[in-house]
Amino acid sequence: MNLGAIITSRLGALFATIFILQVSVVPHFRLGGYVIDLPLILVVLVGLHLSPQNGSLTGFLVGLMVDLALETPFGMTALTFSLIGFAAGSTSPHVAERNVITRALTVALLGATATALFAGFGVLIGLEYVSRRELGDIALVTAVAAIPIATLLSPVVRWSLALRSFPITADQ
Amino acid sequence: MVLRRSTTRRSRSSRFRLALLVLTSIVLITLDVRTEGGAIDTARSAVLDALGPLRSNSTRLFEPVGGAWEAVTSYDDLEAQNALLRAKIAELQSSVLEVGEIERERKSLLALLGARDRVAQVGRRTARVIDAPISNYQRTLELDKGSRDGIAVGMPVETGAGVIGRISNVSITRSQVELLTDPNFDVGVRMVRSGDDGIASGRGHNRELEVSFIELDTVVIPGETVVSSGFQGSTFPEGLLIGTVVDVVPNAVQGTQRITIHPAADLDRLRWVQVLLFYPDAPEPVIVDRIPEDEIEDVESEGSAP
Repeated sequence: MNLGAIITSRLGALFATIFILQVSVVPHFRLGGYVIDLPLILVVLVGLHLSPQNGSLTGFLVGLMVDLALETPFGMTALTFSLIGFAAGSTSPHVAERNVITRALTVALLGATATALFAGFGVLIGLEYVSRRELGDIALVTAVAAIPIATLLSPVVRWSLALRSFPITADQ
Repeated sequence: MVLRRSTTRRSRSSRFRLALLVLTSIVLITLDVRTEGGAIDTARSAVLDALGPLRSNSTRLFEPVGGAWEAVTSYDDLEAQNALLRAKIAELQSSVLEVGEIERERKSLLALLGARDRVAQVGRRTARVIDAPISNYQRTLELDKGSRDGIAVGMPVETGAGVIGRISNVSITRSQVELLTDPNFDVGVRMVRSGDDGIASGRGHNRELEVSFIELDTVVIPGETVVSSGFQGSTFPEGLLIGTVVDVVPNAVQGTQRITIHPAADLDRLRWVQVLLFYPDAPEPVIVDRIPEDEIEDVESEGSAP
């Protein structure tokens, strides 16, 4: 099995596990009454290590999988995730190999942006899912939850992508 | 120079691919919104069936832990909710006698008119809520009953207090309920005092419903009861309790009033609900469905739990 196939199968298994956790466990552990979006956090985290086009493709495929379990119009999550995967891929050279805190904060920022994007697409097609205040709360919850989750998932993502860790020194 | 050209080409290529993905997503959204009962619905039903056992088992397993987690993370909210519920109980206790009197009056009037109480004769299927929404943008609940129990898309779902929504998706063993606060939800309603009909639409989580098409000259007062109108072909029978009026704003330009109503049923922490086996085209009301004895025991034990 070549490296590409290994990475694809590892990523597939990782996203499938996160999807199962999202539909079965996460809804029981809400933060401030809101559900934490694990697939979104993972798409951003993985996207940081990929090129923009691979980031958007990963986001699109994961979004389709999530859409199958939701009642919102099919394709809305795929649209949001592909855009946010592209954004994560575009920022990758700057932050992916920086320290864990920078990476977690970037995931938090992009995660909050994605929640606003999703709600915005809903409004565009005439479906106002949440009020502005709720949208702010959801974005905040996503951002707050993203920091520890991204920190915890980082080693797993690096293993999935077969990345080797190396310290970044001051002279680099 | 060569490196810059290569980078520009790669950037163009990735933007082109993104545009393709965006376009595909928009096509899928349009297909889903415009069509009903297509391949997408079939795929979703299959996923619902496949995940059903996992979700119901995880609910059994994690619900107590989740409850403790919620108590820790939302303690202030729970305290405020507790105070509100105490006030509500006091209010309800005073109105129970009044409601009983109104119900007796309604039954005697129906008997006098020789009319049949259609809502009371519609079959009901008791179902357990097996899981809460998995997304912040979703206003649905999942039930442990599906098409093999006679449940079909569009059927109204209620608790003892009033309507909570309608069946939006059915698989063989599971079904999903679209809550009446969902922006997709709308139902024909009747203002009980005036008898005027309008359309009630969901406005989102924790938000009231909005009734449109009520004319300016109709007198509507806060506290007025709103029930389903049961227009011909509607998936809701006439007379189901939807909510009460909380606000009325006249719109002189459109010649109508914007009426806000509060749902009668509490949409939080639902455990057991009833699906009305209502078939709009059925000539006669469907025979009342018996609830299995073990389920009655479950409901009773659920109700008696502290």
